[in-house]
Amino acid sequence: MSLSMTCRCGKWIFAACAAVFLALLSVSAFAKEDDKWRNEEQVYAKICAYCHDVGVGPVIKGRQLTPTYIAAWVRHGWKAMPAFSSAFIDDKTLQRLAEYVSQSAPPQQ
Amino acid sequence: MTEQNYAILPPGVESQAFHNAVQQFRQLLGNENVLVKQEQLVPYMKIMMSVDEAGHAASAVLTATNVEQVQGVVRICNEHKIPVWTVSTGHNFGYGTAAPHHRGQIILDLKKMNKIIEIDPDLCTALVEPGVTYQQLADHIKEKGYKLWVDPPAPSAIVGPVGNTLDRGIGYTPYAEHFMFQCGMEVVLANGKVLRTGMGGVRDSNTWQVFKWGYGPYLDGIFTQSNFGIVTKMGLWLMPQPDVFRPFAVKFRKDEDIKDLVEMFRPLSINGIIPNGVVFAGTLYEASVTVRRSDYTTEKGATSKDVIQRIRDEHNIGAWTAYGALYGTHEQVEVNWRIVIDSIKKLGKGEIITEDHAGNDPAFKYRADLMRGNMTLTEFGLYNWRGGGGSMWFAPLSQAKGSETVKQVELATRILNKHGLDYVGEFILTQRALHHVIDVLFDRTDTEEMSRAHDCFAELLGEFEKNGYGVYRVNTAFMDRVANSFGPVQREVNKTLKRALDPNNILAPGKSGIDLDI
Ligand SMILES: Cc1cc2nc3c(=O)[nH]c(=O)nc-3n(C[C@H](O)[C@H](O)[C@H](O)COP(=O)(O)OP(=O)(O)OC[C@H]3O[C@@H](n4cnc5c(N)ncnc54)[C@H](O)[C@@H]3O)c2cc1C
Repeated sequence: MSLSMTCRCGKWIFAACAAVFLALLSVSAFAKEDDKWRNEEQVYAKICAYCHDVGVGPVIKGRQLTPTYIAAWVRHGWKAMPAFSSAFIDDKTLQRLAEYVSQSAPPQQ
Repeated sequence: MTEQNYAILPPGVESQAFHNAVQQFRQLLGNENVLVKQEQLVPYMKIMMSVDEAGHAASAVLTATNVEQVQGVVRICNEHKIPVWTVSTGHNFGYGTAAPHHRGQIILDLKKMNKIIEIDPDLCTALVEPGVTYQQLADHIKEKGYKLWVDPPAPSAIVGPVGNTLDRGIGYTPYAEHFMFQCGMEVVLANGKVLRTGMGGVRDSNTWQVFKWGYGPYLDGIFTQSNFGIVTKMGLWLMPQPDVFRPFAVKFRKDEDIKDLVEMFRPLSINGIIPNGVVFAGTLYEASVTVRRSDYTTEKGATSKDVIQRIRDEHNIGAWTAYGALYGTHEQVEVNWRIVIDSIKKLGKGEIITEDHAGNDPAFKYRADLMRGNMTLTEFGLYNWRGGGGSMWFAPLSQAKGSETVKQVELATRILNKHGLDYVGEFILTQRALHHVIDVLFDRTDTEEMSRAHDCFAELLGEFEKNGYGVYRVNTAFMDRVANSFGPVQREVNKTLKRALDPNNILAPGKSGIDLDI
């Protein structure tokens, strides 16, 4: 399939990317990397929070964003968002991180 | 897509030969460390530059976890003449990120090779693998209770000392010039041999991380901003935590104040009164922490002087804001603080802001964090200024002289504005030199703006060169162009070294314009 790699993604391209991404999550988890990150809260605190909790990136907690949507942003890094490879955040950890963010309460003001 | 149907092939390599190589990589590294599917390669496509990402698309990504695997990768690449572009943490934002110099090169991503091999808290040294991030290093130091600081560049938490130092990056503490504070490397050469530089060549040596020069020619330099080897370990020096850390800012109101402030700060830097990488941030660089261009105007093109003045007035932002810090014992800092205050008083302008005055100002906070080696990503606010994810650093060197900074700012602003873009720049002072760092920001989703940004960058390089200025580092789209600025003899020497060290031209061809095929 053709997968647009540009950030000029319309909705349909996004849906395609997200579907492919979900499929990927299930096939290639890097078990070895699991001990690198203690848990998803740690990943959030040591990466995401530096932008998304200080007004640099948009607030992502408490918005019920879907895990698929969050994970696709992490891998693509559209617009201002950096892209993170599976060597940086393995697929399993990313899945847990995406679920954690998706289910989180809004940040305290 | 079947695997044999690779969407992208390395230059000059047939599909079958590539397939054979991929099979060999799989055997060496395991399936999960050989990525060839387009959707797996997506994170390596974010280039941010003013060119089509297709030109920098990798044919595959390999991840290795030890030196033997890196040697194995080099062996297979030599056998099939496959070019391999190595990254450590792969977040070289504004310089091409993790994408290779040209289409089809494979990427060797060393992020998973992330051991902190040793820290000596007495000698204040560390030996680390390429995948270690500054965050990981800082956390480890904290866990161990060592009184040591790291010196991160602005994307601190998500980048690492090896990649940053190999690209000769810069930070903000007194250890700002990273290559100056690097000591000893382990390098896998194109012939598969493992070189340990400096004292690392001596069997059972325990001085590898304390003495930079070793014996004979000093080799570490040729493995930075180059493609002569793959670095698998690097030594660096860590700063002992001072008793007192006192960050401060000085706001200057007028554009032309840059001249006097550089003259004032230079001796303080050379004399070691202010020992860190001092920053002079222009209005829009400073504003990008809290202001978006769209808050003021949605018109395309360069932001008008009136708007910039309104931003200054409404957000109390200087034309230039200097950030420095003092470090040492209580007595040392008191003495140096008096010298700084007296210098500013003598200058007769500049509003001094201490940590107490600054309160919750996010710009002051992140600058202070950087000057004491804390993790922060606040500087990513730059990407909100114009939006759209386009960024290329234009980073000429300047003498630390006021008259030079005026000339460079005027020249850069004129060219950027001509192409409908803004001067979003800062200077970083390290004694005698200034890194003049300008983020050429543009909307990558707007093809017309992207094309303007491209022309703008080319003109910046050309006009600065005409004035005798060269850049300290550049993105992959302009590496060959910049290599020309440094003259034919440097190019020829680099090529001679390349021929000797990597005759098959497999290691990152194109890096810094070094390529046996051109
Ligand atoms: C907002 C913002 C602010 C920034 N501020 C700064 C700053 O203050 N200072 C600064 O220096 N940069 C800055 N940058 C640029 C860049 O992000 C950093 O320099 C970053 O540290 C480089 O990425 P990395 O550490 O992941 O290195 P990598 O991307 O891993 O490596 C950089 C390059 O070094 C070479 N290389 C890497 N590993 C190896 C190896 N093992 N063997 C041989 N060659 C290798 C490759 O050519 C590679 O492309 C900034 C970027 C942004 C977005």
